[in-house]
Amino acid sequence: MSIDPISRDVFQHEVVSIAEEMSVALRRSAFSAIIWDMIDYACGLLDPEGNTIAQAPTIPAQLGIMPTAFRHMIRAIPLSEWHEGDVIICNDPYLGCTHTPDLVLFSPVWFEGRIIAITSTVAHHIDVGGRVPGSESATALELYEEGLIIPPLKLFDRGKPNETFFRIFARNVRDPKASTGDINAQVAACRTGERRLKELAEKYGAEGFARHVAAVFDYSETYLRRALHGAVVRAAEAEIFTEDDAASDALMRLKVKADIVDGTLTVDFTGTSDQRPNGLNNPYASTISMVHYAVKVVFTPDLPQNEGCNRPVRVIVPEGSLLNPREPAAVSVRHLTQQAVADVVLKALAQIAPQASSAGCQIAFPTFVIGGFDRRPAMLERTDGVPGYFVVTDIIGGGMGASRDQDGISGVDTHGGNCAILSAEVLETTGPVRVISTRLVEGSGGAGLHSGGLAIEREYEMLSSGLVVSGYTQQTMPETAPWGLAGGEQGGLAAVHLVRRNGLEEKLKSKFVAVPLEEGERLRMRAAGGAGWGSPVK
Amino acid sequence: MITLSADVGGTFTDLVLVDTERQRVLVDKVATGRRGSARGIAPGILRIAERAGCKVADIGLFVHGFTVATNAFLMRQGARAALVTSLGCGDVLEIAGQMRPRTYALIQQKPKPVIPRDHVIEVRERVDAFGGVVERLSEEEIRHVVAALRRLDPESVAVSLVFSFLNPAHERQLADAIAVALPGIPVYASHDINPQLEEWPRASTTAMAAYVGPVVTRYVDELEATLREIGFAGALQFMRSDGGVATPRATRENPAHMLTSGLAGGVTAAVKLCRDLRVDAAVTLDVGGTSADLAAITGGHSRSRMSRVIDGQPVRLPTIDVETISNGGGSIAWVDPGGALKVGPLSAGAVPGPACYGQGGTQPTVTDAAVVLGWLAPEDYLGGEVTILPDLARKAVQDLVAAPLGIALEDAAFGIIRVANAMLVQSIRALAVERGLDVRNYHLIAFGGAGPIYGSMIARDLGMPGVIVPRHPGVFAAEGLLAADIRHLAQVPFRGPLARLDAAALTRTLTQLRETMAHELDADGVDNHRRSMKILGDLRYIGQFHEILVELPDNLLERLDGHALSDLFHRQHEANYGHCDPKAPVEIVNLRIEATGKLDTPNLGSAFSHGAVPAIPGRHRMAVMAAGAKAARVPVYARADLALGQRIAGPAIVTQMDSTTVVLEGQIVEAGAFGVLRITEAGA
Repeated sequence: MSIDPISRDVFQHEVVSIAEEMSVALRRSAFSAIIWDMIDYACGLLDPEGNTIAQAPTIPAQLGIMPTAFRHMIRAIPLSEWHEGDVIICNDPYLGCTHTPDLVLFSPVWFEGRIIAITSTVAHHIDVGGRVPGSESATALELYEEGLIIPPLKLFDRGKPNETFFRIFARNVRDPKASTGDINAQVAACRTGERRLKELAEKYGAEGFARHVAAVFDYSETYLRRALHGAVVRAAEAEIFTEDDAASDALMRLKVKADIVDGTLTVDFTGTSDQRPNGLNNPYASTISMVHYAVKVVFTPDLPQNEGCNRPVRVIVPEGSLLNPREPAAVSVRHLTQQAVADVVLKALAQIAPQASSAGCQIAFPTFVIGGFDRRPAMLERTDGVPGYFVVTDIIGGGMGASRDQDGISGVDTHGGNCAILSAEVLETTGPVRVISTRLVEGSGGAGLHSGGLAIEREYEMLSSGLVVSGYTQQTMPETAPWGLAGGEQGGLAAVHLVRRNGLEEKLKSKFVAVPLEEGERLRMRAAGGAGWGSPVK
Repeated sequence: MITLSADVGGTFTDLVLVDTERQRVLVDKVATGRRGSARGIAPGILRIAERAGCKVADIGLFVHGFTVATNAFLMRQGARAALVTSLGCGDVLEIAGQMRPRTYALIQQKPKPVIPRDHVIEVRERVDAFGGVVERLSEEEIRHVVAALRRLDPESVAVSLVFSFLNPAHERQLADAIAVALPGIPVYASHDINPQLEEWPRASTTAMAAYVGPVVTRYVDELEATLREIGFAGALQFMRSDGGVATPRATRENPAHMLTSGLAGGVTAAVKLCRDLRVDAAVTLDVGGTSADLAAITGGHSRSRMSRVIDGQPVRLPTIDVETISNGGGSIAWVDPGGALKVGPLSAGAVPGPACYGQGGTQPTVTDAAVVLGWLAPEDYLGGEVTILPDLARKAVQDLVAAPLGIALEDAAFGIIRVANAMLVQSIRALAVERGLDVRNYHLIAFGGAGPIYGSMIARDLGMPGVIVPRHPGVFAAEGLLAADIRHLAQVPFRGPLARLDAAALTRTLTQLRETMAHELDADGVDNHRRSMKILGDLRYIGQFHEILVELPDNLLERLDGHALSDLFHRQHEANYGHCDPKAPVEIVNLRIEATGKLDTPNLGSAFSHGAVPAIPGRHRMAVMAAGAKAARVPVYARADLALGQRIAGPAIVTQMDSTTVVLEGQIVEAGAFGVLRITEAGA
């Protein structure tokens, strides 16, 4: 019996609702700001073959990585060994996960004597050990510098926690309380998903549940195929370059060919640079996620994400390339390259669906971590003269590209993330770093009939000596700048400057590690502006 | 005593008049008239007074709820305001939190700040994170700001400087100088409006006060004049966003507290009803024309939140915790390119309205679907004051939903209701999960014109114990206005670990807060025996930035026990998030005080006329009562005919002037005390 469209649409709301409840359950019991404020996690439901039934719309960087990871999990632990109450954990970038801080959890949903679905959560943990706090380093050479690598194993066996794992984990991470708390939040989300899926299965029966899932997939597939059919231009190529500045001064190339044949879109990254001995390699699952993101924003922005959206999309990523590295390449700062994946695919799709596209957006993502001792006199008074250690981090937004009908928006994070800027008052309350100014940079949006959005520039003054800053950005040179469309101009370049106490300015490389800073010195970070659309009116 | 309340919405103004001596409640619905004008209310008041057989001069208390502030903001018709902020912060409103509104869209817009960039003036001065002055505000800078403001000629001014909540000296100096230089122009200082950490939400809240202030003042002035003209001589009170009411004086002084006034009435009414019915836990569902408002009542109380984001702009002032979604009777149904049925977020609004209004609307709405199904009939709808043309409803649903989906008309109409219902269910689940509540223990209080249509379906889907439909669902929010008391709030930054609180400083701060509140209540003319005060604190784990609002004991000063206070926090944390860390040190960051002046609110208890004998269905109607079913004869009851305690088995339709209640097969509806309808599953 076929499912009528309305029952299917109601079912779709029900499964999306479950994914969202998991998402809320995770967030409310999480310990870390990275989950609370940056929403760097994802929750979803899969069918027993690993096809996404529903995913809550949190961070795009985590979109659709669950199926890739799941297929590796069941190779390591066959589904016949997944019992009621089990939770499987993994973070291995070479087994379908992304980078080590992202812990991926799965749990089976048993109903009428069989597994009818899988729940899954992915959360970015603040630290999983390794060479540097936060486990991320652009200059890492191998995966082994990036913290604890967790192979597929049972975190819970029939409801019983794997104490051995928890003890090893706690001893290998810098903030065991927060990390363990966040794992438990992920488990709570899985349990919420299991309970609610069983309630839903009560309503439909195991068979009916599966048939509704199939109907939902067919609907999404039809939706996307219709959108692809509408494309006039059916083949396009694009390439972009990004800075390395860690392993080499040579630029890295991302190349893509997009083809629509018989309602299927093939995205082929052949011609992309080989992997490099740095932390910028992008593991396979993260490449896939940003392809899905790009296809979604151009063709189906309002469609709930599920397997149906993936069926008409084929992705080819050469092994050993920057976008599908071989072990043991480091991958921890893959988000810079991951943003570039979205950027290059969108550049190709802009030729296929210009009405739904924008010119190049900022993917500069200027980010820093400053750490050290807080020796401000007023703070020392509060801490009985013993300076406290602090770490602060900030991320600066830039411009989105202009489109056919409007200017790009200013001062935002783009594509894979949607991170907030840190409040200047919170920053100065947390550590001896004062925000002197936060400005939208006039003229940083690429000129055009419509102009790109403006970049943010923020200047920080150090209020103690002996501080150390590390950070990264990209889009700092004309070769890597946001690209204009239809005659629009490039977006303004990202840059990081140090201003010494004598007023001398020093431009930092796009990746900088452990740069010492003294009281009164200033750090100035600027993101890239969005590119313009159409020839500027003279 | 005769009390009157009016809830002014975009389309209709709901009026409720209570005459306690004669135990009478009258309700009415009149067209609102020109947006933002208070004049339109006069005919409605005269009409209801006439119906009640009294003079306007006999009305002792008039409580007014309104959406004027909300609308001025949403329609961007607020005052031309200017913002003065610290050097380097001029883009604070434009950059906002740096979040893009839609995560999955390349082409989008950021919400526009209420004060545009060219009305922002930067001033050279700086205070540090400890309240120390880094750079002094000079006389020259003040002159420069005043000169710049004169050129802008604003209707109001917001001043929000970095760390002003720790040291307000610069902000005070500037605000005073501006007030002197620009007489008659209101100045809002951030350390008054929202003395709290984080420069963007503080500036945004202050800007919002400046944006709506003049609009609110104009409205209050106009209303006072209008009421005087028609002979009103009683007390006038305005509903606030937090569920309290304010005198005209207090309303003018704290306009930002009025921003979501329109959302508060319904929840306040529901809290009162819960108390009457001895129901502890409920979810309120208020479905109007364009949106549905949802709130949870726990332990017999509404919940507050300390901030909310309205159209992308944070407002950090306490409001009743209500979620609003675009899902109302006027929401438009459409079929997407993949062949799925969607409802909303677009709404037909009041103009052109649903297709069945015959005012030019051609898109099928939820109301049209209800007409097709036979739930709403021309003779009942709003007492016949609005004409319903069923043929137009059928045509819209047929052409734009049934035909493209290739299904029958009735299935399409029921499908619209099912999809809208699925969205409401999803929203209620999210509301509950976010607050750690289990909806299976919560009653559903369904009101608003369209709420009682959905109530029975939602309660069944969510496994809730029952539905409560108040006696006048369509004007329930207006009734809530009569249940509120005068309220004032204040907050001050007060930071320190609970383990080592500075008792002297705490005493000083609290004494000052209490004095401020006492002055406010004095000014409102509230007698001493009607006053009460509550102390609250924003508490958090040291090192984190997520505060929880905790009510502190009244005898805080007499028995300062950091350990006991920490315990209160841990327990609240456990309730909110499912875990707590009793060993982790806790700190306080803000002190708040809530002052209440009790008003004489009428008890509407038994003032509902029931039928003398159990009603028999006056008529039957052909209606579709289940998915996939054909139209069948369904009994229709007039609400006022039902006898107290009468039980009717579904399917059934209960009609009244302001709403229609749908009861499904397998459910029982009972006419209960306090005039409510209670719907439960027959087997339960």
